[in-house]
Amino acid sequence: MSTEQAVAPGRHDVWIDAAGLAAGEGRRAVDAVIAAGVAPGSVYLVAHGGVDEAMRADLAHAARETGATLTEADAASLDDLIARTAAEVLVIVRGGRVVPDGIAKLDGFFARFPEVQAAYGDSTTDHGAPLLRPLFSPLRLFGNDYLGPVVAVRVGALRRLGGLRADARRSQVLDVVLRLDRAGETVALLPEVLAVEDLAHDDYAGTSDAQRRVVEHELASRGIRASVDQVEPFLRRVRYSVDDEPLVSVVIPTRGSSAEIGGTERALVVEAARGVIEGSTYGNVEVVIVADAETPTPVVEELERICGDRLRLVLWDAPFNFSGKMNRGAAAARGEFLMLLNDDVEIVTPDWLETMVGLARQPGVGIVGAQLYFEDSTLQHSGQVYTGGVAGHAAFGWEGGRDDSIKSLSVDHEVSGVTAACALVRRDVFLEVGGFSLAFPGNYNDVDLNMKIRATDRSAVFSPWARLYHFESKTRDPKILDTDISTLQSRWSRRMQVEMYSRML
Amino acid sequence: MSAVPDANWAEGRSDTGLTPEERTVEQHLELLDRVIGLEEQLRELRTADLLGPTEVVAVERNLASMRASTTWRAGRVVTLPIRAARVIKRRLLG
Repeated sequence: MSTEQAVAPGRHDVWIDAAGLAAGEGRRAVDAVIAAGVAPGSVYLVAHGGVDEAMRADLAHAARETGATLTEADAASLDDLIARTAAEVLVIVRGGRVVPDGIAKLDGFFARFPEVQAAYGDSTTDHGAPLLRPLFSPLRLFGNDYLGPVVAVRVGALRRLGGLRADARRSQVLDVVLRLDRAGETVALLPEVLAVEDLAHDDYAGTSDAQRRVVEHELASRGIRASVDQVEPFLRRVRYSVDDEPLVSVVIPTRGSSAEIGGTERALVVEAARGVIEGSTYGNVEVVIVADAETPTPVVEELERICGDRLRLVLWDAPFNFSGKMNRGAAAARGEFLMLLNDDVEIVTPDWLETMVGLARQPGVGIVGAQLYFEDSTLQHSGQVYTGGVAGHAAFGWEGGRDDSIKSLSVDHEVSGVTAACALVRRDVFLEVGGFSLAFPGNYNDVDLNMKIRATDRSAVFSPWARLYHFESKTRDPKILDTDISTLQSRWSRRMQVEMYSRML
Repeated sequence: MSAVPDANWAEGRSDTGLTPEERTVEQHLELLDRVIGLEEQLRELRTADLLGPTEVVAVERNLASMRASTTWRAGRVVTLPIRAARVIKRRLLG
């Protein structure tokens, strides 16, 4: 069944946000909407108070020529439109042009899925490059408004919400979708191209600052204690409060190996533990080391010296099984949270644990992963990608600092899964899902764990603000067994077919 | 990586194993995973839709683009005689 159908007359009102538009762009945006099947009388050019006279004249001219209406962007005027309209769906266009079948696709989506109250979609650049958006995520919206140029909302849902909020001026769309989500309404991605987008976003009309205020208001309304840092225009970092510092058990499996890192030979687990104790600002930790019998005694003694009474040593004297070792560590741990950590890592951001614990405490979050770099500072992990029943890594091998057009490597966001090389999970959640499966002794144990957690309606979240080096070889041969794949697919294949979180990576 | 010596660091230490309570937790994890694994295998076999609106549309788009591909069309042409033979056989034999 297609999501597309003919556009019903009078079913839509379209508001074109004039903020940031150059001369002539308002007219092009209106023409595109009319070409998509919307009656001119249902199209509104929405001008903010700060628009200069020349631009206002340009918009007025565009409205006259096309039969559209020029209106003011204040909440009272817009609420009046919402109250009076007979339309069922309000489509808001921001910084782009609707494609000819864009409105029809939205129509079909709303008709097919009555539970969806608001929708947004993909877009392309002027040159046709796709801009693919992820599933709806309030957590990601706190960091960046990724919804794109077309957002549609059922008028009934807007009325139930009580209309627009005057304090959200210049950031009404972000405010509305966050409030809809808080009210329990469904906001969904329509994975179809709805518009051609102008990527040259300036901090026009104070929009970026308005978005930050909306996010602060939303966090407060949800009872979330957090601060919001403006990293750059349209990009925010939310720091979730962890003032009470719950105990975190850092579980590290090891056989005490050494390796040459940066020209220096070092005992990997010793340096990892040193990073946790001396290189982290989070104080309330215990370190649970699950060590093979052949771990050198000097390594164990150095761990005892570094960690003192915060160390718990547990022996692993069975054949190699990563899952078994981690489960044993989790069983021995006392913390409210488990930090599952490989021994070949080095901490880059001292506040990595605060960042990850803060995220892990958010409603619906099940497991949190970090950004991991290879020794040459290229990306090793920015979340896992599941597609076609198999798993890979998003942005694998990318140069550090590179990002996609929707800031995926600069904002906290949901992912299909996170690597167990560095993952934080509540201990009770880990126990609830049976921990790591012994059916995956070496590979895919983390994929299975992520899927088990997600099957409980919790999410996997990646944070770019927690960064570590992971000294794993880029060319490591993981020796994947047939049974690894068959067992994984027997459990999760249908739910690992389409990647909907990291579509640009 | 360098080789590690063949010795047991835990010899002479009494506190390197799990307590009985911790051992129970470890065994519980293994048992629970087996149950969850079987439950999820069953869910995979169920016909009920496991996907939300966005995933449904995405899967349908993937399927449509696959069926529009040259590879798919060529495969349909190659397998045409076999499919035709099956239809004839079914009609003849009932």
